[in-house]
Amino acid sequence: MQYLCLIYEVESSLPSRPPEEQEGIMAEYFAFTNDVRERGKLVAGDALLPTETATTVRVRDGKTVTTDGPFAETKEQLGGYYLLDCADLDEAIALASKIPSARWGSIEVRPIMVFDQN
Amino acid sequence: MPDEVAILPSQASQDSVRSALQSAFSIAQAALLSRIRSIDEAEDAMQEAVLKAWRLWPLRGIPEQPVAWLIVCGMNVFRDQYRRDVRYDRSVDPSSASLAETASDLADVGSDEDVLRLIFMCCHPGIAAENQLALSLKMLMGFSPAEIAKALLISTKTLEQRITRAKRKIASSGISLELPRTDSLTLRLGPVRQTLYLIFNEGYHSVGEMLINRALCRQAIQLTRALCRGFPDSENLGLLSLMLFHDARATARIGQSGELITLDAQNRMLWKRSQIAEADVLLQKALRKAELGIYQLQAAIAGVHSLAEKAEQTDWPQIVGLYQRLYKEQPDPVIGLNYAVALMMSKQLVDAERILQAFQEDLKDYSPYFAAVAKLCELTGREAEAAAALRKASAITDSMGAKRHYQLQLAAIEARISP
Repeated sequence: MQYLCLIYEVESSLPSRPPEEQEGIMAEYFAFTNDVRERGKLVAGDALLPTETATTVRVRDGKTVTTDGPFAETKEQLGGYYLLDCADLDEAIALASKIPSARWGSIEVRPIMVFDQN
Repeated sequence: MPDEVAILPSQASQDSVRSALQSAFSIAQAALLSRIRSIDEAEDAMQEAVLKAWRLWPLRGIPEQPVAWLIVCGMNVFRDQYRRDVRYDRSVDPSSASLAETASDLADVGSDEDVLRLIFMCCHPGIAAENQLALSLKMLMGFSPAEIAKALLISTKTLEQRITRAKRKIASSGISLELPRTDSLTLRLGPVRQTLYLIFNEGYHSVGEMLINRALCRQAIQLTRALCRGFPDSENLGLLSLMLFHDARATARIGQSGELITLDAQNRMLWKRSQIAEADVLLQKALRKAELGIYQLQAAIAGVHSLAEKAEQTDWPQIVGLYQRLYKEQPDPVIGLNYAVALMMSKQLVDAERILQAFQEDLKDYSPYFAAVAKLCELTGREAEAAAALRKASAITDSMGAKRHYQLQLAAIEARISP
């Protein structure tokens, strides 16, 4: 079963840390990514540029309307994701808890919907 | 096929059928779920089996092996349903249940492992706590939605919504029916203990006097025993010990007119000594592992009370110390309140008053808070204030037993103020 692990954190928190701490966190992220890749759990994973780069698109009455910025203003922002292949929710929770940002942000674990082929 | 299982010759009363069904329920339901692997179908099969038992057992007597009877009956219901469905619907997977199973395969019934699987499934931390509780009461206890809703003081509709949400979460988010792996045990055991304790408390402190209450306590204990056999870690043992200590006093805490009798006034001759001894052995075993936690601490507190032959012999300073640690582990206002009461009892009135004042706002709707305030006022000679606090406690409690208790105390104080 595939789970999308959405990484939410205060996006200003990483840049505001001292450089050596930022490097430490990046190293932890690389280690985590390598670990899930080697164990065959990694389907995909990316970091996102900050929400100021977001463009939100809506089509209303056939007209495309865009707004500058994220869909919703929230305390913590979506900063990246991992798509992981896990046996069950327990494994997904165990892996999500090892994503570095889980220690100061939040990881939302969402199962991927499977459409019946019939 | 259930008819082939040996049946005792005597007829059975409604009460004995009910209690036999209750103690067999979780094991039979768990066995059916392990075999059928679909929550809804396993529930339907169980429900049919229970209805059949209600029809047959009062007439023919309770079978020698009620659990086996229910499993065989439930599997027959499932197979009949499957044969009917299969002509129209190919979605039912015949390999999901072994259709060749016969009564002889079920000789070894009552598997702890099946029960534990069911408990862990119902109490998965991915399910909201209130939904865990609703699903557990439904799948592990065998009460009707109306009975459960009444015990939880919620509407049947709300209860059904909670059960539906829990089932949907299980079906869609990959909550498995397997026992948790070692690396997720810590995560998985916490909510299991919490739900079992909630079920026990629901029975122990519940509103009104319903038959469901004693059954809830009995079954919470039965399930916690199974948990301890499978996972004998210190907090599980602590939880079982805690339940046994409390349950041993159950008969002594309700008076003739249904009023609550507090610890200090209980007839300690009514306490079940053998059960207290068992609880104490379990607690000692848990403490030897040196991994102290909230259930062991609460069991230790209950133990200090239970081991005092008279209320006056209670070792209050020890209880104060235990509450202090418990409050550090779990800074909850109700624990703070009990800490204050313990301080009061060991004559540390100034500290007690300071803590009571700190929780004034948090516990403004909690009747035991006002009972504690009344006690403190009484100990410090402020009887008019004590009476006012008791009136408040009596006004806000939902429990008839507690209300009668407060009114009796109030009458005693009023008699002293204006004889």
